[in-house]
Amino acid sequence: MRWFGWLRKRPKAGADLLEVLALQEGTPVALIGGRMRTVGLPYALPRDTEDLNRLDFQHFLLRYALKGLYAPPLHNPQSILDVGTGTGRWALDMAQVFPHAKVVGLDVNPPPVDEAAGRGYDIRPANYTFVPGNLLEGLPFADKSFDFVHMRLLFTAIPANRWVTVMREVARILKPGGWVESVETTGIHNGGPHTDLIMTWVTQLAAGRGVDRMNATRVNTFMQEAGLRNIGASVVNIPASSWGGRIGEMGALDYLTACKGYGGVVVNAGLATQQQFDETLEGARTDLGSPHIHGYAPFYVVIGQK
Amino acid sequence: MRLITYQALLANQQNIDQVKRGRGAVERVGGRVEMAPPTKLGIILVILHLPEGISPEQFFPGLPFYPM
Repeated sequence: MRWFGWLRKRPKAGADLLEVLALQEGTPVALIGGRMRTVGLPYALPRDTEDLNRLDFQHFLLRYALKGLYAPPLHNPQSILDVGTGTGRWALDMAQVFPHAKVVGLDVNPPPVDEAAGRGYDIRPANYTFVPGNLLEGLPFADKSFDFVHMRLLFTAIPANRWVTVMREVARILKPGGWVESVETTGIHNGGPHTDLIMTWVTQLAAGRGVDRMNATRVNTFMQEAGLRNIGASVVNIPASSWGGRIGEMGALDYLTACKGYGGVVVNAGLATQQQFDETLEGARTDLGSPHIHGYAPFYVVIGQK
Repeated sequence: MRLITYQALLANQQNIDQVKRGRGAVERVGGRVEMAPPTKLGIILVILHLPEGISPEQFFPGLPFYPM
């Protein structure tokens, strides 16, 4: 109960500390806006079973829509890093695809598979490792450590003024000839008025934390500034409403579940009332289920080589 | 004096030491540093209260503090 003990000693420290009253033992997670969220990061989405399930679902959606796990021309990589590994699903898949490579996942919270291992149920592949760390304070690896570094959907996690710094760190830990891949999105476009309003709230929320979600479109520039070469970029528009068939319905479900996760913090930030948010989310659900709304999410896939 | 609150999650020991060393300087301008005990994985939540108009960069350059 270390966290609780720390908090009990400071009961009058202010509203900021009240937010962390529900800190779980030994993890940087607190009850904020009605959901458990990681504290101390710009990233605002929840860290709970519902959102972990969404992230796993999103992984399989992206693996299908992007036609695989990676874009660069990899040749027998020996060391692979997943920055901001989240549920660890991508890293675990890569550990299977490249059984002779050492695959490392980095994040501030361990993926569920590592938490399960801590409880005695260890199904992790032998070539997979989790390393705790905050990518915003540098990557805890030696120079020239990895053949491939993967970064996905960090657009709400990396403040605008840190993108180049993060990319320079990636360049530092890449081996000569190694590749980095970034997959980012700017969210749902053409999703109807309710979806647009939620995107506006999320943009405002992110801006308050120094995050510009449009940086997803500038990753190639960040790679250039970090000294990487052979930079290639492509955009894959993934349907995110029912007009897109099964994949569109999956994209909409991912988006709506993520939006639901933002609800409490959007309300806490004073951007909407709970009723406004709930009604808008319901409106977005209706819009994205309409055959007349052609919603999609552009995914920016950028690769670069050291 | 209005205080602005920032947070950072730190895993790097050098950065944690930097915050410990800068605590006195923050207090001299009317601010406050609070550090939680490390998590199971050694990560520390730092909450920084600074008077309006003073940036965390002035005390802790390069550390990932963001406004709450």
